[in-house]
Amino acid sequence: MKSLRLIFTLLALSFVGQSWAEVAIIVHPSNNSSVSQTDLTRMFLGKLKSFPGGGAVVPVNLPEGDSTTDEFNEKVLSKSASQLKAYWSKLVFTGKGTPPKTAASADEMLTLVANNPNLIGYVDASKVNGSVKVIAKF
Amino acid sequence: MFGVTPQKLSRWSRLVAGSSLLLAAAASADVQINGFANIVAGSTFDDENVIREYDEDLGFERDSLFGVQFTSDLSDGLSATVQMVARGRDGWETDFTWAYMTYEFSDSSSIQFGRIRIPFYRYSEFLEVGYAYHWVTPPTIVYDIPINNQDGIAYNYNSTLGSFDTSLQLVVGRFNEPLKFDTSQGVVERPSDGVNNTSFIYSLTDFTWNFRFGYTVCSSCYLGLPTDGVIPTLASAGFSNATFVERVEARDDQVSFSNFGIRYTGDNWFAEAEVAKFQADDSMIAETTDSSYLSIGYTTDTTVWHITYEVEEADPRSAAVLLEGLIPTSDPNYPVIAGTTQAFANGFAIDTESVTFGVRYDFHPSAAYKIDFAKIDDNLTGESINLITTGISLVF
Repeated sequence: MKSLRLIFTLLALSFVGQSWAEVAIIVHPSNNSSVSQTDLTRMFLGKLKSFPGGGAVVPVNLPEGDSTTDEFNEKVLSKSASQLKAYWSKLVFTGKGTPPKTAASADEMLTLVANNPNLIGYVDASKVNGSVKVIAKF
Repeated sequence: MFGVTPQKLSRWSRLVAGSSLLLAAAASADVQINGFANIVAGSTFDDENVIREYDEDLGFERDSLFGVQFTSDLSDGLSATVQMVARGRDGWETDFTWAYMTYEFSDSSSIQFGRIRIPFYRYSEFLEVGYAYHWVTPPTIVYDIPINNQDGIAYNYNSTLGSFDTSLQLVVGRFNEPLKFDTSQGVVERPSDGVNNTSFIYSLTDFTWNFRFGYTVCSSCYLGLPTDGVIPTLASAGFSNATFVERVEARDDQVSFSNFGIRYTGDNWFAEAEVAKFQADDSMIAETTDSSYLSIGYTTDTTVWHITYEVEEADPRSAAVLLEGLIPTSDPNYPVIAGTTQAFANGFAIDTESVTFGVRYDFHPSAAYKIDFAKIDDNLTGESINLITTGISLVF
């Protein structure tokens, strides 16, 4: 019994650990688009420029090196920070694309997204508040 | 860092002064500044062997460069961009590689108008942005094209086809920059003038695959060639003939660059290949020059290990054909004239293979250290050269 309880405790702890590291994809509360992971990737790589339900997409990143950014890059875009930078440098220096704008912090991200129906961003799931809508978690 | 002379410094300050002027002009608009640099050293470690200006001594100038780009967003889909690059091989003189206006009609189509790079092959447009690829320099056998830029207009159209993102690029322009040829006598510069140089590029990309088809044709082209020297050489020996000049020079002639590229990107492994064909009508340039490479690599979070095989082949024009009907083969001077002509034509004969092993290490979020070991075999001369190039590429 004792060992069983220990297993439950460890499991519970690991869930806590995971949910703490979860990335929430956020949009304006009025945005009713359903966005697949492929859509999301194409939006953040500058290939998809409007929401499936209509309306221009403006993706917003958190700062480079931020742990949430690293998680997002790895879990959603499946790219390392330098692969992503190599990808954008190809486009930037040939005039074929511009990387997403960057919010200075999770708080700024929440404020920006809460005030603009075109934005899509991400924050650590624990930081989400009622001003934005979560459309996916990774 | 590596011997900045006062002359170089003054060029740098000019670059900086030019930049700040531009900044002032665009002060009210939203200006984005980006840059890139490659600091590359190379050596063959043998004074007998010189390739791509590298010899026994450690050379820094050939592939080192600094680039800076300013993009001003003028709103409503209009933007202006200039990219200036200072290259070690040009004595750090600054050159405008890109200077164009972009107008986006919609999410899927845009035009660029101004000075642009010619999209011959996959890496041509960002050949100097070392951070964007795994080698120190992309396969030289394919990318040693002496033309880079033109003034013109490019139309880009992006769409989807099934799960692929597609991109169509149509470009028309005119180039007239000095061509730089790496010859056994060092770098030789010749003039050029390519009117209505037209490129057609179509590519398909998903998260794993990329396919690229490219065709660039300059239908009435003038390319100054290192072999044009055959004309005065033979004239001084008493042979001058207008038809011969026409057959030897690349003047009002058609040249074309065709290309197919494929790339597979897996979780850790990637493989890519490009096949390129350069064709030239009615000149001393070999009728067809075939070049291709295959590169395979393994990627971890911070390191890329890669190996590349490159091959290039071209059969030279025959003196008998170049001289046909111009001088009887029974003429006592024929052997000397034909011999001289063939010697010049052989300048375009190529039979080269190379294998490169390299490592890229991303030691910093904006900088990568790279080292390439290449073994280059010239099957015409039987000569084999080992070349090591290493350096740092960064973007900001």
